[in-house]
Parts: sequence; C-alpha cells; structure tokens
Amino acid sequence: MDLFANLATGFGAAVTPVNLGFCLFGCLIGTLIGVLPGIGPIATIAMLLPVTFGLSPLGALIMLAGIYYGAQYGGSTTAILVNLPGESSSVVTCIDGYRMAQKGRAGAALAIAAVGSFFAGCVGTILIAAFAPVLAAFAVKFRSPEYFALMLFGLIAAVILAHGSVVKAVGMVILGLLVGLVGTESQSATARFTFGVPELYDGVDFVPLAMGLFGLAEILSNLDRRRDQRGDLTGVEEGGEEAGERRGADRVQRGVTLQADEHAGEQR
Amino acid sequence: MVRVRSPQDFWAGILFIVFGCAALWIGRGYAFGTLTKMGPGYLPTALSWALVAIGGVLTARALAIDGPAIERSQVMPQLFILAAIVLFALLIERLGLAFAVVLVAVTASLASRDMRWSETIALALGIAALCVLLFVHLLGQPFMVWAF
Repeated sequence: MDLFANLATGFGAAVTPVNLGFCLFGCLIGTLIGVLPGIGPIATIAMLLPVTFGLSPLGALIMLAGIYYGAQYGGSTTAILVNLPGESSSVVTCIDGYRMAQKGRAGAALAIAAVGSFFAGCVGTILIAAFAPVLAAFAVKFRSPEYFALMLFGLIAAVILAHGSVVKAVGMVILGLLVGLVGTESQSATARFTFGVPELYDGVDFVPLAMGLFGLAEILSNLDRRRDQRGDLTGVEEGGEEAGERRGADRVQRGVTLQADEHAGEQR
Repeated sequence: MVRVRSPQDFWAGILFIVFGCAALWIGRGYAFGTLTKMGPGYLPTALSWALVAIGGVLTARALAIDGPAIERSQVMPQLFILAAIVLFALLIERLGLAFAVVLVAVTASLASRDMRWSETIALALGIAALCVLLFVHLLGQPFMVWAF
C-alpha cells in the first residue's frame, strides 16, 4: 500500500541518532519558549527560525516540527499553574487544569497534560497521514453555510454549557460577538470600533483577550482574599491518586478527538 | 421607591446597556445597508440593540426577583493592576523595555496588601534583567532596551 511505503521512506530518512537529537533539542527549547505566556507555537517558530539556518533542510524541518510540538505543549504549563493560557488551545486547559492545581494536584495535572499531549500528537499524526487526502476533499466542500452552521453551533453550545443565568450567558455571547467585530470589515474595508488605533485594524486577538479574562480576573479576585484564603498552589510534587489518574485518562481520550480535529484544521 | 432585589443581575444589566449604547454611538456612522445588502453597520447595530434588550430584561428582572449581593471589593489594588498594564503599553516605546518592566513590577506590587519595598525592588530589577536577557539577547526580539 502507498501509505506504508511512504511512511517507511519517511522513517528511513528521519530516524537517525542525529535527527532524533535535533527533534529532542527542538522540542526542549520549543517547550521552554512556549511556556512564556502569550507566545504560542507560531510565534515560537518565528523566533527560533534563525537557529535552524545552519542545518540541512531535513534536520531543520525535523527541528521545527519538534519546536512546534514543544511550544504547543508548553502553553499548558502556565495555564495549569497560574491560569494564564499561553495560546488559544490551552484556554480549555485553564478550566480544569487550574482547578486541579488549586486542590494541590498540580503535578497530576501537568502529567496528564504531558501524556495527553504526547498521545494526542501521535493519534493526530497517524490520522493526518492516513486520511489527509479524504479530509482535503471534504475540506474543499466546507463553504459559508457550513461555517455559519459551525459558528451557530458553537454559540448555542456556549449558552447551554454556561453556568448560572441563561440571560447573562446570551448577553455575554452577544458582547463577545461585538468584540469580534472590532477591526476592518471584510466587505467594504470599513474600520469598525478601532478608535483610529492602527493596532486594532486587525481585530482583537484571541490570546490577549483570554489572558485578560482568565489571568487578570484571577489576579484581581485573589487581591481581595487574605493570604490564607487564597488559591495558592501547594504540592506540585504530589503524585496522583488512582481514581484521579483514571479520570485523567478519560479526559485525555476525550481531548484526543478534539485535538485530532484541530490538527486537521491547522494542516489544511 | 423601587428596590433592587438582585444587585449582581441589576448591575450586570446596566453594564450590558452601557456597552450596547456605547457601541451604538460609536458605530452610528457605519452604513447600515439593507437586509439583502448589509452594510458594515448592520451587524453592529443589530447586536448592540440585542445587547441593550438583554440588559433591559436583566435589569427589570433584578427588580422583581431576589438574588445575591455584590461582594465588597477594594478598588485601589485593582486600579494598580490595571494601571500597570496600561503603563506598560504606554511606556514600552518611549522609555524602553528595561524601564517599562521595572515600573510595571513596582506598580503591580503596590496592589498587594503585604508588599515590602526591598522585596519589590529586587523583584523588579530581577524581572527586568531576565526580560532583557531572554527577549532581546537570546530570542533577538526587536525591542528598544534603553531610551536614553
């Protein structure tokens, strides 16, 4: 079969000690840079591009892939420990990862994030390798009606999944849509809600918004509590209990489906 | 005299109304268009009115149904945190990275109720040195380090 022959060729070229070393090194510095809040995989690759200039094309590509995966994973560390999402995909990690860290299970949360990242990366890569042609054919058929349906689904899901008052949830969704309107309008290039600030012409980026909503809100609400009531982190070292670990595995599996989806979207 | 029974919902509603009205006022110049040929102002106007309506419902409901009170909160520390971010945005291009980071660290530390000057200054200088080393020297980002 074509697929296996191609994979064999790829592995034959990539699996040498030197290339694996490049991958390890790329992954390591990618994680180190990706940990910095607000610096996602794209920014990390852009900054570390010069590092790969001296390498052979194959080695450079392998190292960039390592940097990408490292940075993708690195964002989850700050999301778990300080509730600051490093990039848009680790916003979800904030929600349960940070709660675990507050209960003194930061070590378990970090471990789940690492194992989940590895597992999801593997599954996503296999899926892409196997189904890329089929997915590409499907992706071309994805037009405005489908995007509209997807967004409508997302907004309705946001209202349904919100805690508390439904009216407030609808209001926040509308407010979010209004924030999304900031920037240049696509049909007539009218600058909307930009206040003449050139930086706003591209719209409000998702990462600063998420950092403001999650990180800043956490800081502001911590200010009102005394030191002993605060959600301080304790016991990062502590190992996970049986039940927690098993639930973690469930979570990883649930995440993999989404991650594979996201991969398909990014590599399209 | 009308009594506010649910202060949280009441002020949330007022905020929605304020945001909606502000968006309506800022967006008053955008061409509205028609339903079949929407202008750049169509969606903003529709969303703003929807936001005002939601805010109205929330406010009205807060007068009828009991709800939780708003927790007392200290305004000054919160202002210091927000001021730190605004300061950084304003100063990074004028004073350079090193000074901006020191000022941000000091301003943000003022928000804490148990801050000590020696600790704060050490922290500010440490963070500034780290930022310059990491972003400018190791990652080669085009920041201006010193303005003078």
